[in-house]
Amino acid sequence: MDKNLHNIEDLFHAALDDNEETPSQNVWEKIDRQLDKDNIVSIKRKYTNLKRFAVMLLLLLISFALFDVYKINTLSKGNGLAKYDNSIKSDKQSKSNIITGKGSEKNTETNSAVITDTSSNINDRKDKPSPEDITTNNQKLTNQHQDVPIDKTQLQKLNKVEKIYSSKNIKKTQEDLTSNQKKKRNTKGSYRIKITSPDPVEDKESTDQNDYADNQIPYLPKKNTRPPEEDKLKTKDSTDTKKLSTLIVSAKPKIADSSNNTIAKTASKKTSKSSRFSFTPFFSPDIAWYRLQDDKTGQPDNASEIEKEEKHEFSSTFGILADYKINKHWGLQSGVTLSNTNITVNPKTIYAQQDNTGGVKYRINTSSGYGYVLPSFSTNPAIGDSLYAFTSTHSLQYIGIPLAVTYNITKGKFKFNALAGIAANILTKAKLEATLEKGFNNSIETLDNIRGLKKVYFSGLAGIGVDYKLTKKTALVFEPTMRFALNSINKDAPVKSYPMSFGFNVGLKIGL
Amino acid sequence: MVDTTVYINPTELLEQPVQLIQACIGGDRYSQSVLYEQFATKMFGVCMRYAKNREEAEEIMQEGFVQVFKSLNNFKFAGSFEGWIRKIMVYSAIHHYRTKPKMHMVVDIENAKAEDLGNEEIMSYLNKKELLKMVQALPPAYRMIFNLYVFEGMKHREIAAHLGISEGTSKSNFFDAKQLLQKAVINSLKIAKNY
Repeated sequence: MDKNLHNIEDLFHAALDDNEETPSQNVWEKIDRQLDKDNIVSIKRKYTNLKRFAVMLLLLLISFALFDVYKINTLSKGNGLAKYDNSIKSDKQSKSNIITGKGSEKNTETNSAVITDTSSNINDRKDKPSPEDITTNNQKLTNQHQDVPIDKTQLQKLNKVEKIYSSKNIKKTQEDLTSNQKKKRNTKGSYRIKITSPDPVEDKESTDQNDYADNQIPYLPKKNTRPPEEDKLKTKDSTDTKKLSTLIVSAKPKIADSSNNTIAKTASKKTSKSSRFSFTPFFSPDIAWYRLQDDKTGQPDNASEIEKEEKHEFSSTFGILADYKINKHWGLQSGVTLSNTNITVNPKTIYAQQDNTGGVKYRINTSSGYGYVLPSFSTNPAIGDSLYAFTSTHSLQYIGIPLAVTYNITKGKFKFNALAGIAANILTKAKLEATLEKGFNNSIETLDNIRGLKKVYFSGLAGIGVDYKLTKKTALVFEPTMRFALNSINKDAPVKSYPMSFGFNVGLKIGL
Repeated sequence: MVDTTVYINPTELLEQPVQLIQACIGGDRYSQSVLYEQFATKMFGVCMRYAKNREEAEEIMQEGFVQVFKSLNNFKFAGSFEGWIRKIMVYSAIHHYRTKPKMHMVVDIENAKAEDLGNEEIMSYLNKKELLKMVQALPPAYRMIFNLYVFEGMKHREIAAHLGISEGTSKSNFFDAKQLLQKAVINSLKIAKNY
């Protein structure tokens, strides 16, 4: 027993170590299919990476666009409205001081000075400040304002405000006041103004100074060109002065409100700037065709033969485009598109040939590439056997990433565009479907992998179009675009195909 | 319509294995089919020993060759190419065994009786196919251990590591496998002698 056990492995080793057996044909076919499948998976993985990259780019673009919008909004609030809010606060504080006579110690020197000036003007003509005093105050104010950087826009706004308050015609001011009064008559807590004996000069000065104080605006000396003597003559009546004082105090909030509203509106208008980004979801029915070239010289005229056999069906492109405005006229355009091209092949006879694996199958040649089919009713053809193929269709699907430069001119609600650029087109689907017939047998064969197609090809873009502005941030887009292949879409195929299309892009542009 | 594909004579490729391997690495399906044809029978013989039947052997070989084509770029052109492919086939068989649900068979080895016959004498009565069937008839774990030990020359430690079992189990299974084969041989010899 032991002896046999000891030897049994040697027996098997000697007998079976060099054992050879022939596997069935199915094994290679399965391996072939498995390798094809793995190739498709690897291509899909490559596409997955590309898709991830595209999504990341899109997210970055969106983030940048949102940041742009946020920045604009912040600037709008910070430089414009926010500063004027401070002015309004200051104005309210000043009013309070004037009415109660209790000037806050914490008030700015400027405010105190102006209040003093106002009191002096009304109650004590002797203490009326000379133009030099006012100038001094203005200088102080100017100094105060120097602490805060004033940009060009602010200065423009200030000039506007100045214009409002330095109107020479006090009547206009009064009219404004009256109209404001009328407008707000029914408003709770509104002021009523009754002007009995308006003194244009006195009113003007007082208003000017008070508004100056209220709005913290540098007062320009040139406005106060009247000689002090003239003021004295015109403000002798203390009753009128009191009334005038009341008028000023009561009118001030109106003026301030009015002015502040104007300022706010101006600021808002100036700072309400739209983002440089806009997005356009679009759809484009395409007229598609191609240019075919024989792959090798000296071969029979495959190109013209295929061209006669094939006919383009409905093709389309859709996607989303992102526009970035560089300046008034120029911009950049990118995005993601998905295009579908369908081509039918006229009924024709196909022949059995040896495929790349050495097996014999029926070969279908198309402009996109070729494929081998083995219908169930003819699984073992000989080279040269023929079948009748009718209603063959091949469909190609590409993801496109365009990059174009745009130029536009605005005319009223219309914006005329011209664009030129390139696009990388990544093959995502290539399908060949054929109905085969032999005698009474027929079968529909579908191939999901057309051989001889490149994974990526590049195309040029050129288009002109028009945008019709619907609202401030939306526009209807119509942009006929020509797309033409810069390199062929296939390799190792009987023909080289250069697809072209003319698409009627229709979309809705949404600004951020 | 003329087929523009360039076909290479298989003998040309076989004469230049490096060129063939390089073409296979490049994904040329024709070259891959030539390579397959070259080693298919030998490798199928290996796979048959590890499988319980032809179908399973084909599955193992299919997985093995796919792996061969995927890993070709790792081949360093040092050593036997056939040995390299064979190793992949063996690993494919191990992988196949480990991924299949395990069947724990109760094996009766009590009735085995020894006969004092030489290997050559046994071989004169039994042909290769019968011996192969005996190996295939072994329980999967026994078959795997027997194959790895006898044909691949692995130590029980290595076998244990590959199969995820203890060294003792490997030794014990090997012993049982030999007993079963001896019994099978004896039975076959009896039948053969009766004829």
